[in-house]
Amino acid sequence: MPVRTIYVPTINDDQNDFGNLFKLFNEALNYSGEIILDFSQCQFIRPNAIAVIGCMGRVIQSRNRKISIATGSVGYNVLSFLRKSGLTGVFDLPSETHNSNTIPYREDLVLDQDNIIDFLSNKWLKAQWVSVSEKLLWEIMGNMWEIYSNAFEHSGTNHGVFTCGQYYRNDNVVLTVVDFGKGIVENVRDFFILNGITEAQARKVPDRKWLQWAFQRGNSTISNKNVPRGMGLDLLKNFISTNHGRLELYSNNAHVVVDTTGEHYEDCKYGFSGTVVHITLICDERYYRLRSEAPSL
Amino acid sequence: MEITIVKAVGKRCLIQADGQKIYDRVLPVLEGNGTVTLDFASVEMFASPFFNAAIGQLFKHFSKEDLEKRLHFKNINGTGLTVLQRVIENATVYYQDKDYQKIVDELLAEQVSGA
Repeated sequence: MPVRTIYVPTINDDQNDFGNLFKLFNEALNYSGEIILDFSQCQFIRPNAIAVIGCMGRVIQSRNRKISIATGSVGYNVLSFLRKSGLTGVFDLPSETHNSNTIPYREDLVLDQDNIIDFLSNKWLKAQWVSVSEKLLWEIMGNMWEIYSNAFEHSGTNHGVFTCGQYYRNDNVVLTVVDFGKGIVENVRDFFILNGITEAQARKVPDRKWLQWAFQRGNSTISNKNVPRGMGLDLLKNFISTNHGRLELYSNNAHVVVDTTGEHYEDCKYGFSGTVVHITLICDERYYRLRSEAPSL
Repeated sequence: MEITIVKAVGKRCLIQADGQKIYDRVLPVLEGNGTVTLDFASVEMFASPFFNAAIGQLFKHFSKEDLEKRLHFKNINGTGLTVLQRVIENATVYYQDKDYQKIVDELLAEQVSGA
């Protein structure tokens, strides 16, 4: 089978860019031979792409297929970012994370509380938002934990969770967390079929409606009736919308944006068999209404 | 009985397994008609998996009124209190059977009406 070259375009982090990322991911996954990633058309790349491409690399490698980067095709700035983030390590190329101010790309195969929280606190948030108070830091960490907990518990992923982030000069910090599990929509749809709904009926419900169901408090697809569930996404979206942040989630063919204007669900043309969570937070404590300042017991 | 959470599981109340440890200590006391106080002094972080396991599960065995009388919390800050309250609200309905056909019918009706 011939080697296929897949061209990585310039990738920002709006909805079209995510669509292009998922197109690229699906093309790579669906080809059964060797893949070379060509960056000659890529002027610019963001951490969301780092996390998704890292995930893609690992998934393809897990299927005993070769995937590599055509290093000669990569422009200086893009290559520098790939190295500083550590993504090049996925493709057996040298990285430069030790001297880097870029938030490193990481892979978590297990839900290790201390490891993940220490990374989020020290490498992602406090590295750039030096003045963040302890109380706000703890509240943000609790909410970010809901993302990782959800990814490991619900996704069924065998590949772990992939993360990358960045600090922007306009005082925003972003984090992208990717899992290549079943996807929220597929999970919910299958759960309803397991509970007596016909597949034909289940498929009539658009993806965005299943995603919306998953985001409502108390709804969960884990059928273990011992431990209640269904709080994580609701708590997270409440934190984000109250504190002027932005949450985007892509799963299967559905997409949601949560911000101060509310929740906006839609169906997507290019799907992702897994889940991508993309969070933006403002690095200015004046924008936050701390729950920790609320009356306590 | 009083449990100092930071001694039992540490400063981070995040994971289900730690919540399960608390639940395993609380349940027999409540089953024996005793009372329990959970002291959250020095706890820094809170997330729903911990509270779902530690407290949410108790709603399978006891009513909300009973738990209000015999399970007490102290030194829990506003963040922890918010998560705890949401978990309690959720747990009181979680164990009720859901009508999945009705949910699907409503989702499809919304689709037709353009919602």
